[in-house]
Amino acid sequence: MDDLLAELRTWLGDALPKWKAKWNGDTSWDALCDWQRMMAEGKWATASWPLKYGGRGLGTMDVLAIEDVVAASGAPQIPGMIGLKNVAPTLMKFGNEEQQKSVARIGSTDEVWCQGFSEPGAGSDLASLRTRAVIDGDEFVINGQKVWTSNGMHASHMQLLARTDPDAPKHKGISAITLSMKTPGVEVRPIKQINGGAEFAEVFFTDVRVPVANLLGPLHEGWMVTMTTLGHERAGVAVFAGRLEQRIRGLIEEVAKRDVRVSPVVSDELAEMYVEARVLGAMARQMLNKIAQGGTPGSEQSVIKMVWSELSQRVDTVVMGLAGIEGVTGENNSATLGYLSARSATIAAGTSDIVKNIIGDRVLGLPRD
Amino acid sequence: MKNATTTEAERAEFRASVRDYLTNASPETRVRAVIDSGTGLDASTWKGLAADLGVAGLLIPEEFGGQGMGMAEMAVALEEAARALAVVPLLSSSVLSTLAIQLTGDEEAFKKYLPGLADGSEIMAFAGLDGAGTHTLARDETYWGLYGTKTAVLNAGIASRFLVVASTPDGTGLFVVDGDAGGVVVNPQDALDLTRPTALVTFEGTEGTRIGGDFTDGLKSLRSFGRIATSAELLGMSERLMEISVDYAKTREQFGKPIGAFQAIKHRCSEMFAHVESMRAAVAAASLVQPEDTAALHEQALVVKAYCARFAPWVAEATIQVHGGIGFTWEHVAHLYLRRVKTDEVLFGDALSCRDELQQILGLTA
Ligand SMILES: Cc1cc2nc3c(=O)[nH]c(=O)nc-3n(C[C@H](O)[C@H](O)[C@H](O)COP(=O)(O)OP(=O)(O)OC[C@H]3O[C@@H](n4cnc5c(N)ncnc54)[C@H](O)[C@@H]3O)c2cc1C
Repeated sequence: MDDLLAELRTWLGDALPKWKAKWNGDTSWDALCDWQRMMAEGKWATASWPLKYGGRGLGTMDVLAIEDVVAASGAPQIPGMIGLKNVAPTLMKFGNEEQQKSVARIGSTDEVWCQGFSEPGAGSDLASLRTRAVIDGDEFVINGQKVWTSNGMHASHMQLLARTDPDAPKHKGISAITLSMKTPGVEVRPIKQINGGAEFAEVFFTDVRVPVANLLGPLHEGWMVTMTTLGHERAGVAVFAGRLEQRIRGLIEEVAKRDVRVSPVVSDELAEMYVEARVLGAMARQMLNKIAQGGTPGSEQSVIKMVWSELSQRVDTVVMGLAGIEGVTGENNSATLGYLSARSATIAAGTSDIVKNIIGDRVLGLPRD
Repeated sequence: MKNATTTEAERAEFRASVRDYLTNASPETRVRAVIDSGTGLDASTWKGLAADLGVAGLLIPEEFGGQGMGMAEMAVALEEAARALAVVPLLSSSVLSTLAIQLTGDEEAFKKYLPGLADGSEIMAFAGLDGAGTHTLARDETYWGLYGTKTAVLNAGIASRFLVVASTPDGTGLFVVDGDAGGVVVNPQDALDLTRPTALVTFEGTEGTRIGGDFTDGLKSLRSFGRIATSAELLGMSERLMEISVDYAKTREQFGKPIGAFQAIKHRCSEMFAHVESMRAAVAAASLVQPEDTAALHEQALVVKAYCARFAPWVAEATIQVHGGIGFTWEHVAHLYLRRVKTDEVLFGDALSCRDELQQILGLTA
C-alpha cells in the first residue's frame, strides 16, 4: 500500500501542475472532465475497477487511501462520480457486451451518466414510479418523466427505471434500461437549486424508442438491479464520515486560532460535534475494517448514513452561525453556499425519515405501518 | 495492564460465556431479591463471575494471579454485568481499585494486594471519585493519618479495604486503609442506583499505608479508565434497554396495531439503535487505546464518555416513554437501569464536563 501511495504522490506531483497550467484557474465542467480523464488514464479514478475494465482491482481500503491522498493534494472534484461509483459497477455486473463498452468511456468522461429514478409522484416511494416502457417489436417505447436527476444537464447517458409490467406488484414490474440522452423524444430541463446551481434536472420522455437490447439485467428485475447500484452509493458513506471528522477538526483548529474567543455556547457546540464526529469516524472505520476482512456491511451502513447526514448538516449550520452577519450579506459566500447545499444531505439517496423506517423495519423487525 | 491480547472473535466468545452465566445467575428476580436483602452484594454471582469466569482478575498480570488482559476484555465484562444489573463490585474493586494499585508502580503493593483482588476473594472500595466537597489530608508524623470525608464510595459496605486518594505535603498520594481500622466511619447513602450502594466514608485520623509516590498522573489515568469503564456499562445497559423497548413495541397494541408500527415509536427505536451502535464503536475504539499513550488515552476517554453519558440517559428515558404508564412503575425494570445509568453518567464526569475538558484540549478555551 505504501508503494502504491508513493506512486500516486509522484503521479499527482506531475499531473496536477500540468492540469493547473492548462486550465489556469478554470473549474468549468470541461476542465473538471479533463482532470477526470487524466485520473482515469493513470488508473486512479478507476482504481476499484477490475483489471479487465481498466482498473487496478483494488479493495475498498486501498481505494479509500487513494482518495484521501488525492483529496489532500488539493486536486479538484471528479465530475462523473455517479458514473464511476454507481453506474459502471452496475454495468459490469448486469450489462451485456454492448453496454459494458460504456465502462471505459465512463472513466474517460467520453460518456457522462445519470440515474433516472425519482419521479414527481415517486420519491421516497420509488417503487411506485410510473414512467412506462412498452415493448414494441424489438424496441422499448418510453413515456413519462424523471426529476431531480443529478448531472442531468451534462449527461450523455441515463440508467433509467421504467415500469414494464403495470399488472405486477409494484416492485416486480420495473426494468432498468440504458439510453443515450440524445435519443429523440428525450427532453432535459434544468432545475435551479436552492444554492443557485443547476446540478439536477428534470427529464421528459415522449415516445422515446430504444432497442430492447438496452435492457439492463433481467426484464422486470430493475428493482434488484437498482438496489445493487444504491448499495454502492451507501457504502461510500463511510468515506464521507471520515471526511466529516477531518472537517470538524479543521474547523475547530481554525476557530481556536482566532484572536477573539467564541462564546462558551458555541465552543460547547463545537466540542459536541467533535465528539459525535469522532464516534461516527470510529463507526465508519469499523465498517471499513469489516469490508477489508471480506465482510459485507449491513445495518451499520444505514446508521452511518443517518448520523452522517444529520451531523454534516449541523456543521454547516454552525459554520453559517460563525459567519454571523457575513453569512447573509454575501461576504462569506462559502458559508452561505455550504449551509444551503447541506440541506440535501438528509434528502438525497433516501431521506432521514426513510432511513429510520428502514432501520426500524429491516434491522429491528418492527411491524410495518 | 496490557492492551487487548485477544482477537475480536475471542472477545465475542468470552462475551457469550459471561452472558450465558449471568442470564442464569442474575436474572431480574435475583437482582431484586439481592436489592431487598440490603446486603449490597450478590455473593454467589460474584464468586462465579470473579473466580470461576476469571473476570475479577482480567486487568491483573498473570504473575499476580490474574488473566493479564486489558481494557478491551474488561469492557466486555462491564457491559455484560451492567446489562444484567448484577449486584457485584466489578467497577469499584476489579477496575478502579485494581488499576489504582497498578498505577502506583509499587511492586511491593502488587504482591500484597493484587492476588486477593484477582480471584475476587478480596473486595476493595475506591475512595477518590469526588473532587469538590470533601477534603482528605494525610500527615506524616509517626504514621500517615487520614482525615476527611469521601462521598459516593461505591460498594463501601462490602469492602475489606479502602483505597484512599489524599493530599499530602508532597502531593497527591494513594493510601490503603483496612476496613476495620480505627477512625473509619461508613455511613450508607440513599443511593439512586439500587444495584450499587454507595457510602459516605469518614476518616478520623485513620492509619493508612501509602503506596507509590506522587499519584497525580496516576489519578488522571485512573479517571480516564473510569470514563471508559462507565461508558462500557452505559453501552451494555443501553443495548438491553433498546431490546426491551423493541420487544414491547412489537407486542403492545393500540388502535388495532402494534405500537411499533407508529413512526413516532419506530423512529425512537431506530434512534436508540443508532446510539447503541455509536456507543459500541466508541467503547471499542477507546478500550483499544495503548494505555501507555496517555494523551490518546485521556482524549479518547473524554470522547467516549461525552458520548455515552449524553445518549445512554436518552435511551433510558426513551424506554420509559415507549412503555407508557407501565414504564413508570416500580415493578418494571426500566427504572433499575435508569438509576444505574444516571449514576454512571456522573461518575468521572458527565457529558458536559467531559466536553469542557475537551474544549481545553482542542484549544477552544484557556
Ligand atoms: C441533491 C439531490 C440529488 C438527487 N439526485 C437524484 C438522482 O440523481 N436521481 C434520482 O433519481 N433522484 C435523485 N434525487 C432525488 C431523491 O432521491 C429524492 O428527493 C428522495 O428520495 C425524496 O423523494 P421526494 O423528493 O419525492 O420527497 P418525498 O418522498 O415526497 O418526501 C417528502 C417528505 O416526506 C417524508 N416521507 C415520505 N415518505 C415517508 C414515510 N413513509 N415515512 C416518513 N416520512 C416520509 C420524507 O422523509 C420527506 O421529509 C436527488 C435529490 C437531491 C436533493
